[in-house]
Amino acid sequence: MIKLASFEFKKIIKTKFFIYMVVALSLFVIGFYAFNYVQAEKRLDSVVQGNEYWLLEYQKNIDENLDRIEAEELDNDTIAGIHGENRFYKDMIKRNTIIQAAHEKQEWTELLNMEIKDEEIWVSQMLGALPMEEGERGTYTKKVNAARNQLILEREVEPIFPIDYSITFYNFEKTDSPETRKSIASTAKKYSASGLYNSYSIFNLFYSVIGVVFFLFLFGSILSKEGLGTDGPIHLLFTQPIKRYKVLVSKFLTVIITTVVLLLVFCGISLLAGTIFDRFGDGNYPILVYGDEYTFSFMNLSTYLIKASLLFFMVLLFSYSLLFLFSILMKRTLTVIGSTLIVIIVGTMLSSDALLQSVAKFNPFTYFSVEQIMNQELAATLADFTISYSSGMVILALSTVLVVVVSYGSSLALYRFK
Amino acid sequence: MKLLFFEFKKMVFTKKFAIIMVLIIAAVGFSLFRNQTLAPNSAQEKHAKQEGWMLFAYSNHESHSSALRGDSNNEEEKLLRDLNREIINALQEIRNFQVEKDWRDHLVEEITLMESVDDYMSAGGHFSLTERQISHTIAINQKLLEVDIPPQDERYSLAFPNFMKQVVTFYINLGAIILVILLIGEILTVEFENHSLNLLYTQPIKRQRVMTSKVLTSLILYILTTAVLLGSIVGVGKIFGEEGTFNYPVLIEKNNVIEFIVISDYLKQAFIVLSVSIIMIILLYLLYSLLFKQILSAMFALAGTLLGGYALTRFVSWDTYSWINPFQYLLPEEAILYQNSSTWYAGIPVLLILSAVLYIVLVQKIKSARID
Repeated sequence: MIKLASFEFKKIIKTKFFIYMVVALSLFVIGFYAFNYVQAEKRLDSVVQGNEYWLLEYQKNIDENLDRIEAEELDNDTIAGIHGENRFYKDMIKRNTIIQAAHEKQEWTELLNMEIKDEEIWVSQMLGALPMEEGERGTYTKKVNAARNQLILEREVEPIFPIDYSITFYNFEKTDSPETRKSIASTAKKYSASGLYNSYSIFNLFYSVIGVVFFLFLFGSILSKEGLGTDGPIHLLFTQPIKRYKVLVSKFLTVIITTVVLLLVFCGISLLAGTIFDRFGDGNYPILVYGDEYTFSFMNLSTYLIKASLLFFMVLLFSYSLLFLFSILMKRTLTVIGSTLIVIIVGTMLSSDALLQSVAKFNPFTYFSVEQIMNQELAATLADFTISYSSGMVILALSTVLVVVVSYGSSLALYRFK
Repeated sequence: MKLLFFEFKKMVFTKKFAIIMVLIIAAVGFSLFRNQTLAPNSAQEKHAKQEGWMLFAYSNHESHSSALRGDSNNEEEKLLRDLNREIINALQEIRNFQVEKDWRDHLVEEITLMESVDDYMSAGGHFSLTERQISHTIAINQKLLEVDIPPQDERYSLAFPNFMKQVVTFYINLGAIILVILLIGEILTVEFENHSLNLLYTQPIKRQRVMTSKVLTSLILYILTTAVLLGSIVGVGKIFGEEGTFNYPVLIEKNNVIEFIVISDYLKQAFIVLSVSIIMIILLYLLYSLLFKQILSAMFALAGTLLGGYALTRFVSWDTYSWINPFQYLLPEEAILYQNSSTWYAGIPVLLILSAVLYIVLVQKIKSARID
């Protein structure tokens, strides 16, 4: 089996197509890092420059107000109002000075303490003003932000900007205009050029149907090009003293091993780029995980990356099992890949159908959006917190086994009747 | 002509084509069956939502009453309490099943509810509806009353024109692209893999004609697929569906103002933008097939190009970009329903120009191709 697997491995990696795909993937990872790096720099620059601008503006406003008090004859109420305005501007100057000092010294303690205190004051005011459920929903994002900043402070990790503004799933519940959603998502998006956070960003993009499609294209012809069921080269192997099932299993094993290697390479490039040009990153940076009844918790970034990779690997295993099933049933590469993609697309659509939500947790395609499973956003959307990383691993594993059994049965049936 | 007929027979008289057409018909039948099965659940879901609003309104009532107990002269809270009471009254009216009502009464009740919620939110109250949901519901209900057409379920409609719109929407949003690529995926690459293209090159046939016949065959396949889809919708919809009207209003946003088009116009626009997009995609795929000579590479290059084009469409927000973006119709439903930054036909000229350029490049490439 190992010799066969190694033979299959050499067959795959020596093709021009495989080399082009790996090069394309590497270029994508590097290009994504470059984009992330530029965006992180721009975000920091805009915070610093914005801060400098507002410091000058507030001081200018204070000076204009004082000049106005001196120059004009104003009644006591107006003067009191102007002094009130000046107190507000002074508070803002104090705030912006803390922000400026934090960026200059790269020392975040005072800034984080200030943000946490502001958020806690806002939350207590809003909870008092709003009805209960609306209060919980309306203050959720601020509570998350405050808790995240508190953890950043305690763990002494570097904050990722913006730290005073973030969004959660509950923001989008009240905002259904595509333009508004795009605008607030863009303002709240965090960028960091560190290796770990860059990996987090790229994994969230790639660990989805996009990544599945990439790998299906990469290995799409592994069985169909052998001409199974016609006079293809696989029949030469079948004439050898090798059990038929070992040929198929060795191909499956090769695909799995190559996938693991590629995922490690992909991760390695991302981490390396970040470490060389910025820093490795903080493994204990807190990542939001939604909970039931407007609760939340945080997961370490390193834990998130490992678990997300494992979940995506299971998603790929399941997709490969479908690919092998269709390769046994059909002869042409195009129909094999087309059928696999159609099943995945339809399965993913069914998982998000409003009236099939009660069975979504048993649908393996529900777990194809790895990010939404890991941070429990899908569970919050469907109000079903049994949809989780653990249930995903189990359902995907069982589904893979089921499809592999069906594939084995189909291959036996097809070749017995031929 | 002979070459075109030859190519056509190669693609159409195959098991694959027959199976795909049968699957399309089965999928249409399954869609109607799904709608018939799930339509009652949809009504239950609507009632559950209204119950949720009622609970929210009662919770608001408690909150305002509690505030007024602390400060009975608070005019703002009094106003909010009174406006909230209007919402509760409107919801109770909707839930009143003892009075006989027809669909017009239901629409009027819904408008009253939405207007009450809008007044309440404008006065500073909070409710579990967005402004967009409110304005859209009021607008569509008023329009339905104006044209005197009963409302249909957006997702599980049984009325034939609405069912057609639902299936066509699925077809135009990637369905057509996937089906066409499935049908024509091997039209050129299999010729390279089997080296049969070399045989064609040795014939007294202009190479340009070989490529043109493949392009035309692909287009005919797209037209046939669309015809089978529409035919099965008509067949299944007319026999098993309910009566409806193609003048059913479809809500669109144009320059951030709500307007309406009818289903027939929606279908016309959908097929126009889809067809122009498909021409470009077919030509692009044939070019990649000619360049890479291998099916997986060509398909991956096409998928990558379309994905990159779609990403650019989402990220770039210049006003004039829609006039030069050939990838804006990958999900044409959005382009038709949301015409806030461009009109639905803005991308058609650039698509036609790009298609012409791709065709010229294809022809030149095949003319200069060497025999392997």
